[in-house]
Amino acid sequence: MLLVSQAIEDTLPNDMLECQNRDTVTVGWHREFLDLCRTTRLFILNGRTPGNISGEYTCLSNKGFSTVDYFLTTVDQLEGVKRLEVNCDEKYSSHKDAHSDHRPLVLTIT
Amino acid sequence: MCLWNIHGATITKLETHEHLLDLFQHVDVVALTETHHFPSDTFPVLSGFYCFDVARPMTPQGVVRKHSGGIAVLVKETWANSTAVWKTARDGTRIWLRLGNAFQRSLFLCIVYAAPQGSPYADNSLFKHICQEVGKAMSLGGVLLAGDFNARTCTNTDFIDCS
Repeated sequence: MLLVSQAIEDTLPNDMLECQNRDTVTVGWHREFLDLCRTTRLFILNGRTPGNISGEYTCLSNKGFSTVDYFLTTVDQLEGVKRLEVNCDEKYSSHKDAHSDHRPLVLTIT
Repeated sequence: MCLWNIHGATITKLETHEHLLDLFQHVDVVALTETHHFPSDTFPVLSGFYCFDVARPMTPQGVVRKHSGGIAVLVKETWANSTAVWKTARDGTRIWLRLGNAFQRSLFLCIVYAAPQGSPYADNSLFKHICQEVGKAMSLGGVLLAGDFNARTCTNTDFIDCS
């Protein structure tokens, strides 16, 4: 069990506390996934990293748009995280001749 | 690093579409989920990359309904000597790579494909296993987790809010 004293507000920069997400639905493994984050102190980079502050959708299936593809890391690695982009080019997703119903995500770290 | 649920990765798809190569040539690591390759397949290796992969095995009933699941991580050859598999899950849900040499703090990269809830491949204990592995990896180096988790979290907090 994670101790309260280990909570992350002390270490995660204030401007990164809020995690944006264009997907307004909670479905699937969301409880298990968020429990994993809280227990391990891994943080979702989608929606709080330059290049993807809005929490862009990552999947454009015929059931609708959603965010299901994520990058996560620990606070001590955040300094090396420079940019996260969701590639919305229709060559890769959504177009009828596209390769996948998911968009590629590109993370730049140093 | 590029992460992509590619929804099937064949050599034709990987090599004959220049825009895929355009996407991949600018990154050192390409992590692909839902590669749809069988355990007996040799994953297509792109020029300039070294491949680490794990395929989804037969179902518990021993029947493969179709090609599904699967993960491949393509690492630029310049990084291949300092990259090794740390763990793979036999059920094909994840692969862990250790990046870095003896003189550096290692980065443990885990690529995950979590089958949707309700799928015959869904594993209720997957996240518990990942949690245990993350704990062990954190004691050895840095951790980066990525993948298709089939989890729609909205803006729910991913940390314990003490306020």
